[in-house]
Amino acid sequence: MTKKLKDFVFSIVLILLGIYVIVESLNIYHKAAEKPYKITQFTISPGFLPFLLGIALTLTALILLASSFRGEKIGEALGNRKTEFVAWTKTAFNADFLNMTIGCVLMFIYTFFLVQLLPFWLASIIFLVAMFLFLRIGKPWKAVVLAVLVVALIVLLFKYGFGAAMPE
Amino acid sequence: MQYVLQAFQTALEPYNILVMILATGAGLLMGMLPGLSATMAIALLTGLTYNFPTQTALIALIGVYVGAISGGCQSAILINIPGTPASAATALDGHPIAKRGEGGLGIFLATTASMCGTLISVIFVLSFTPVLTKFALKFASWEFFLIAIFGILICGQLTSNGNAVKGWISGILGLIVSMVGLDVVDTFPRFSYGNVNLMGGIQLIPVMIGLFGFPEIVKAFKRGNNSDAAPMSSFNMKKGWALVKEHWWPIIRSGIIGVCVGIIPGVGEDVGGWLSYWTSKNTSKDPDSFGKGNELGVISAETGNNSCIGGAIIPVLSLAVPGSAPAAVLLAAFYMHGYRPGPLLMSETPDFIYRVGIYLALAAIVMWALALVISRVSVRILSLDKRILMPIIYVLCVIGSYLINYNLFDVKVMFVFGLVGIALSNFEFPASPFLLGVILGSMADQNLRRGLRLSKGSLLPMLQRPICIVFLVVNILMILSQTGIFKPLMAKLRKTK
Repeated sequence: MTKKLKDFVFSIVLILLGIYVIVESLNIYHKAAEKPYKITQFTISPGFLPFLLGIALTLTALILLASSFRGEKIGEALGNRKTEFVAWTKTAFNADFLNMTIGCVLMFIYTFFLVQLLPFWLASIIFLVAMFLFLRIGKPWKAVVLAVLVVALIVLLFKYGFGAAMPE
Repeated sequence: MQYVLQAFQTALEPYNILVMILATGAGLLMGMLPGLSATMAIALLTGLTYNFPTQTALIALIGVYVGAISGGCQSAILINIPGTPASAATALDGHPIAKRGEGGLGIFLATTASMCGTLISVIFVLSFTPVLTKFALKFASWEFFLIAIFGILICGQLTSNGNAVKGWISGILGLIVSMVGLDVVDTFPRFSYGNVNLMGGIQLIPVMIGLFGFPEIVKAFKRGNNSDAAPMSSFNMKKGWALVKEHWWPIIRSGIIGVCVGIIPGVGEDVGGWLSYWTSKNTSKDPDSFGKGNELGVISAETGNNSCIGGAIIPVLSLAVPGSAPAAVLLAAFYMHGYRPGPLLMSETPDFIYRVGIYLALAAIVMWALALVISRVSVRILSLDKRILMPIIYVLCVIGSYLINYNLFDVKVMFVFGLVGIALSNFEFPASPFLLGVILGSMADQNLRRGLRLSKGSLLPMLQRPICIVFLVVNILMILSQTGIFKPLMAKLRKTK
């Protein structure tokens, strides 16, 4: 992805986020004006600083957006970004991207499901075996033995060494 | 003096000595392995020290900090990949030294310079912090609000590789994240959407582990990511000591530069290393030899980055504003262990500053000895397969996030901010201002609203206080400098010269 395309895409996301923060901070102000808080003055309301931050984010994102158009007319710039985006999609989804995505998905499953539902030791062994197999560190038995040893060491160190309670 | 003796007494208890050796060793290993930063090392250890006695936890955290910043030089010298960004400048001359068969000498010089840098910074911590703390007693709500904004602006400017707007955006995003949860003045729930976990606010440690650790783990999934290490040679200590003696002035100069850089909020050890290296190169009689294996390059860079440690701790102790990303984690750890850094520190816990200073000095000495021992097996450690190491590190990230509050929600937070870290890294936004925003957000909000309450909603009192005016002018000048408004003025000045 070219630098200009990166700035263009991210600044659009940031502008939307900035507008959302402004709207939400005004909601906070209106809600805080009701019972039991009854804070009617905007500058001392809990929505004041978020409002300022929303404005600051929108303004700085607009500056970033403008810098991604530097040296080009708006129509021409939009056309260029479109071309750059199409070119990027042709090269972006390579083997490295796929590996990183699969790795992230495995970490997501471990974080949001395995650790939340299973005892820590079991969740971690399943995760490590899956990761080692995915990263092709060697034969499956090697992955299992390594995962069991690592988790046993971690549990021993934290649970019995540091006296910390592990997720159950 | 009484506090210094107490600190020595605590540090020299057998259990604490063992903890210091283990923590500094762990820090060295973490710093040595490319991808595992000092920030990540401290963030991980913070969660793990939760159940430790307070002093033992402090010793462990300071040990790992010193170890991680110093450990980066070994990979920089042996494989030309800095273990941490702090050692980036070291690689320039360190690796050519290793390539000509003097890797041992390079590591000895870097390690000794690191120790000297930390020891120099301890002198500043012990002498400057009480003075700055006394000065900070003059600060009221408005000053604290403006110093938080100053921190974000300067950190954004110095860490953004020439595009300050990106650094500032990153800082603003961090400030917005810190708004999540019950607000500290009226306990009004903001951006919580009725979720009890969000009402408690976003915890700093999971955010930090996510921002700094997660992207490195994911990057390791790319194919062909391992590096070959250069062979190790003997230390040649006689030559090493002679070189250290010969370059005593650049060591002191780099130490002072590092401390000054460290004091600036959010600007890390990497800038300290680069600036010291750059100064030595520019003042050298033979600047062309830099980058080709000049020993002074290694000495300057390592003294500079390590003296940042003490420099970064000075504002942490006196103002509760971190001087670097690892110092930010240290600040969170101090809070977690019951200390309240800031202007009241000297009156509430006067021994704390001296304890930190002494632990830093002892950690530097332990680091020196350990680094030389570990360097014998560095080549093997640096050849560790990242495909095995990184999934294990992720399991440790999960535990580190969980142990802060024993809450599995924090583990999810770590993952989400890991994705944010990847996005920031891919779109070339610095992560340090984001982290600083998360840390300073609560301070900024609390003080702004307290000030506004006292003035019945008016911003006018801000303009009537001299320290506020100084901060306001500096902040405005910093923003204006990015608009190019000073370019004609600078051009005129250059012409007159």
